[in-house]
Amino acid sequence: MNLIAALRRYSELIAYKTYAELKAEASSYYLGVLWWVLEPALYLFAFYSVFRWGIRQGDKEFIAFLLVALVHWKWSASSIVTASNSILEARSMILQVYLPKIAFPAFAIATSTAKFALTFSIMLIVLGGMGHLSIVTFGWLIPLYGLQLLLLLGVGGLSAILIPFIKDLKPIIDSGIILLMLVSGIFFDIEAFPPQAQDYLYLNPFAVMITQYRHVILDGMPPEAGRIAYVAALTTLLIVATAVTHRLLNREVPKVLI
Amino acid sequence: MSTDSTTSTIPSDAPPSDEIVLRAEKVGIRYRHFKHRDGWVLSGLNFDLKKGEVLGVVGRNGAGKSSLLRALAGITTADAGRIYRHPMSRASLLTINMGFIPHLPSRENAILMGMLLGLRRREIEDRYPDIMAFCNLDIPEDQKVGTFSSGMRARLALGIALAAAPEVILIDELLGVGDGQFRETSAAAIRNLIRTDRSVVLVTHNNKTLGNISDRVLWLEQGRQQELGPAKEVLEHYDEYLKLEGARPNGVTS
Repeated sequence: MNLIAALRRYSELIAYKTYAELKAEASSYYLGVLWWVLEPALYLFAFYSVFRWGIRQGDKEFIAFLLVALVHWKWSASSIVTASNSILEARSMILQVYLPKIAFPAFAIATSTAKFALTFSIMLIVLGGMGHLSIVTFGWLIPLYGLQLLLLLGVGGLSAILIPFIKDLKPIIDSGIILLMLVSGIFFDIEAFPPQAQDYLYLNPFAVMITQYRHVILDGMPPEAGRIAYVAALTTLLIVATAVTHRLLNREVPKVLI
Repeated sequence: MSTDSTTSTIPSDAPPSDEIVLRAEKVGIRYRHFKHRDGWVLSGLNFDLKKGEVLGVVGRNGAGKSSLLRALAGITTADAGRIYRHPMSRASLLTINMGFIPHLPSRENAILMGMLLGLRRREIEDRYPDIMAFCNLDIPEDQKVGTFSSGMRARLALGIALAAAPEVILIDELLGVGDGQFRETSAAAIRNLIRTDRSVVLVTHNNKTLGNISDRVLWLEQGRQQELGPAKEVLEHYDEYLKLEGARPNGVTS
């Protein structure tokens, strides 16, 4: 079964599993669903506090610049980490029911995306309150988010399928996420660097995406076509690699989990 | 949903018979990371499963019983030989570790597991009252599955699998848990399945249950097919072997 057919066939299951995981997570805490709002709010507040009253006091533009990057980075990072571990963590289910293995990173990315939707809403309220929101180009977010989802599926799907066979990839990904956070232009403006340095930094697709989100949400500008084309090409490569790996290893995964 | 392309449907060159829902031909399963027997947990298996038949599987722990059920369910592929499946049949595996989410109540878990077993959400929601009637669980609607005893989880698992109504049900040690009443209820449910032409492959260490329910028994020893035949005959030989070897059913674990 090919990758796209599998995702289409199991879309209802992915939606219900996402709902079930979110409900299970909420019901395991005393504050329940309140954590869906509190957790991202606290996350944003922690960084807001540091930069509002700490490192760069009063620089509201920088705070808006930072919030947009953090919200989108958190979506990327949590999707990649949970997707990468998703097959190992679903061991008992995988040994019991046949599901194409791409479904497990898809479950993880869908859950992270549902949480992102809440964080995104909080970010919009904060940015609106600060007077830093530009809604004229909001329509561009739809294709950008579509591309981001495919990029996450490419990275998360490939790593999820490979990790049961090469467990060393797990600590590499965990450390790599921290490195990516530092070089994705979350805390600094890549466009302030010399062009040659920008080209290097923009080899990282997440750095490209974060800059484009800032353009669309804060500056009212459309995304840069050249940069987006690069991310789209890289995403296509990752999706093809995921599809090929999935075809080769889909039924072999349960055997290494026993 | 449990079935898919890698476990082949019965091809045109196989003896045509609507009575055969599964066929294993020289099947071998290999886990490359296992050191024992060069990783071959099963080899050279040959058998048919007929429509409406209950096939019991016996063997000491490590004999390859669970590996066989996973391969029949299409969860893993055969590394040698082939498994053929009738095009119109689905096979679902039932174990006590049904993959329930402990923080959710039975309803959400039933819907999720039903969908994993191939039903649409609406279908499993419609059948939920029947599942609960079968399970006979006297619990509040919102009680989480994580608080269930193993017997209660087994009831729920069997109820969901019966509601999913696959053509082939593969049962791994599920009937060994729960109280006497559950064992009687589940044995009766399996007999009812047979009346509706469903086929069952049953793994349990409870030879009495196997003898009462099974038509034939497959005896596995160290990944190989030791004997296949009428239930009573094979179980007698198996019991004699255990006595002779001084071996207990719960020996080596794989």
